[in-house]
Amino acid sequence: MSIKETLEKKILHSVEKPARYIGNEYGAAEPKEKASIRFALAFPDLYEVGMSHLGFKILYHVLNSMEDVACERVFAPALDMAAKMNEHSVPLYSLESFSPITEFSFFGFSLQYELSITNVLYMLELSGVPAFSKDRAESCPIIVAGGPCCVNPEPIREFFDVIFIGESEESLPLFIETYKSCIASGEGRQAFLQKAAGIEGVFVPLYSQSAKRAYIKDFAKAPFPALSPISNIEAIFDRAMLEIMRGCARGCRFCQAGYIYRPLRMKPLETLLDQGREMLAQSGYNEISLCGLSSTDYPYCGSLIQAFTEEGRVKASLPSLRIDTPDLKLIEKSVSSLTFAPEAGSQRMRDAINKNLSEEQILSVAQQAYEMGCKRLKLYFMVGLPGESDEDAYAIADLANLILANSQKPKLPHSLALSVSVSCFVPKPHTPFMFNGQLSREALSERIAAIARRLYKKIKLSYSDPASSVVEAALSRGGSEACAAIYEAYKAGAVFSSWSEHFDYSQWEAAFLKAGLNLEEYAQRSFSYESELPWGYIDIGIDKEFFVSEAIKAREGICTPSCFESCSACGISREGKCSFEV
Amino acid sequence: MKYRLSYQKNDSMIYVSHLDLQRIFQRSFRRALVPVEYSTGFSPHPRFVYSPPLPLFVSSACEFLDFESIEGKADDIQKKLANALPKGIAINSLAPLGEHEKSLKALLYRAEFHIMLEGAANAKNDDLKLCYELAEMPFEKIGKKKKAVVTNLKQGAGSVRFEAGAACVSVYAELDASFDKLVRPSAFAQTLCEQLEPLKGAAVASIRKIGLIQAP
Ligand code: SF4
Repeated sequence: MSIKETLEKKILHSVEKPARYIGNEYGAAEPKEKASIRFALAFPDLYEVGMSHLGFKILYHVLNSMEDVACERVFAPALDMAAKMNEHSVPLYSLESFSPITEFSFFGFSLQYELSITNVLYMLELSGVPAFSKDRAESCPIIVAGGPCCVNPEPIREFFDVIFIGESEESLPLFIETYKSCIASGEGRQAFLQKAAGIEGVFVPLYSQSAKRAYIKDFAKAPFPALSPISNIEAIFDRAMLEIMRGCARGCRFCQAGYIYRPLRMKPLETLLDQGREMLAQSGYNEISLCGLSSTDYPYCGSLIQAFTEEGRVKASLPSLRIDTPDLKLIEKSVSSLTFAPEAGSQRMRDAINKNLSEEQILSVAQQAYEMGCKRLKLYFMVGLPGESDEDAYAIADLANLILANSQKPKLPHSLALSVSVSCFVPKPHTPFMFNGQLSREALSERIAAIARRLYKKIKLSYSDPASSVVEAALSRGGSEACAAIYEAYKAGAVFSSWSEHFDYSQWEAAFLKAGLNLEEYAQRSFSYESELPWGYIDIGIDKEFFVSEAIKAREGICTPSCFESCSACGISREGKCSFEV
Repeated sequence: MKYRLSYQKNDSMIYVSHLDLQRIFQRSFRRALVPVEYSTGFSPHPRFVYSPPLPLFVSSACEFLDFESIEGKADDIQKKLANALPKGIAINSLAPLGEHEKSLKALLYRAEFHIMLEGAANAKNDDLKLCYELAEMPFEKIGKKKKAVVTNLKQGAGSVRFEAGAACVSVYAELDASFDKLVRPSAFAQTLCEQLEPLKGAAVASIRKIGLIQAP
């Protein structure tokens, strides 16, 4: 019986959401019969999560646009499905042609969050591929990783044959060409890996000593998927995603994305109008999201929203709003529900993280939004930031309380439902806070509890689990010794760890211990400015001196202007300044 | 202008629920650039009338969707739509809906289902027929106040035929499939396997809605 027949006859009737496992979406690539290179593109999470990811859609498009390459999708099956697959000896397969992974030349994973790494091992095991690179035979698919987690290859280096650093759209074409020529000349796996190590943006753990991030210089011409497979069941983000910009000019010190995607690049308005229209027409979506790290920094955001909403029954949305967005009404047609991220409660901390926002600004925007008809306002904050004191945590509650109190002054017919979401800060590589250790689990819990005690009862509080942020911190700034801990955690049953219902701290704690590490101490270790960092050999494009100076400025509460205002010479532009003309 | 689309739900589309199918149709119409009438109100949505939800895992040769469009020719709409639908949804016909044609509510009464059962190798047609005539077909479902209610599925069934083959038994059952009364074909199949001695141990291989039965 073929894989598809077994699925239909034996498996799909008894699993949750069977449509996850059967492909057949509008917009999915037809299996290419003649392709000499088969690339299984994997997202180490559930179907509906992976199908919502823009980067995944872009890579699928890029690979399938290459002659000779057939790219097919693979997602992590839920546990009920994996059990059924094992019972009926069905290996992990691709959704386009129901081929086992071992038939592919490449098996590439998009690593978006640290805790998804054990799902890679889970998917490798379901495919019958050894977890460790060193154990893989000549005929085994080449196991590849890409995505933001790869900027520190150390904790994952033993699992992957190739790790892409930066924007793989840029490095993939040469990578694939190199593979083709190796095949043509009869060279084997090792010869290819050796050659791949020479490509910019490619790190081969076995052969590379260092690697430089690759990124798209001419972003206006960046590959753009007009049509991606459209999920038959509801994806987490079920809408057209138009990438209007990449990178960010703001320089918030806690934000890894703000550094590893530098410099800020924007597409011209005309290009975006064309691309957005084409996406909507081809997909049939009735919603379009203008994607970017700080979309409202795009100067023609309002024009885009206006154009898309007026041309069809389309809702245009932004993933996030900045508090200093000049004109709320222009951006959001309906302000009934808004989300803002002041990130820190006290001015001292907002300056330390370079949020460049005053309390007056926050209060006035919140009040303005309320008076314009906002009924639900959500505020995002972080605890555990370097240099944070108890008072800074209390300030989160005080600020939220003040916003609520202000909203009660004018006698308006509607009331404001205010909610506060607190997440635990995790220090990340290639940021000014990479030198700092994570705050302890107890201290994080105590700060959250203090906020809860102080917050008015009418304000709803939600918060992330300090325990999972400790594991995230341990992995994100980990060294190669963390590979063993990850493997142990997987062996102990840690899968879907980024889902709170599956996350089990004790599993991770025990796994680190088995690998000879104390999890919490490992997450808390700090590095001196002079020390050699585990990821020090990765050149992201920003000078270490810049990070050090930012770290010092953070301690002293000094802000750095955004790249729009003036260049702080981070190292990205050798000319000493980037141009942000659209 | 009102139109009636008759379509099939085949292959992997059987894993897609009615709610998801509605989203698929909305997007397909937009892709096909067939403008449809929308409801008014806070969140306008296309004025579509679908045949009653088809359960998961059941394929169908005859599902319906009524819609309004200012677009002219039915042929054109059909062509455009055919290209915009995902594989597994096949159009039978698309035609303007005349003034005096029955609404879906009035049209849909019962449907004939083809149920394939596996693992009943020694079943004989005559035995099956006799057993069915004598059987009660009780089915327990959770009613409105979360209380279990037992219904006799025979009350919602018309003629039922059996065709025992070498490996499988085919059951052709006419079951209520209207907006207000419907018998779930999977419940009917499962109860057959429980109640009919020759079908003990058999399992459902597939279910397909194959035709409509006009109201008497
Ligand atoms: S070189 Fe200057 S303008 Fe460019 S990203 Fe760095 S700080 Fe910003």
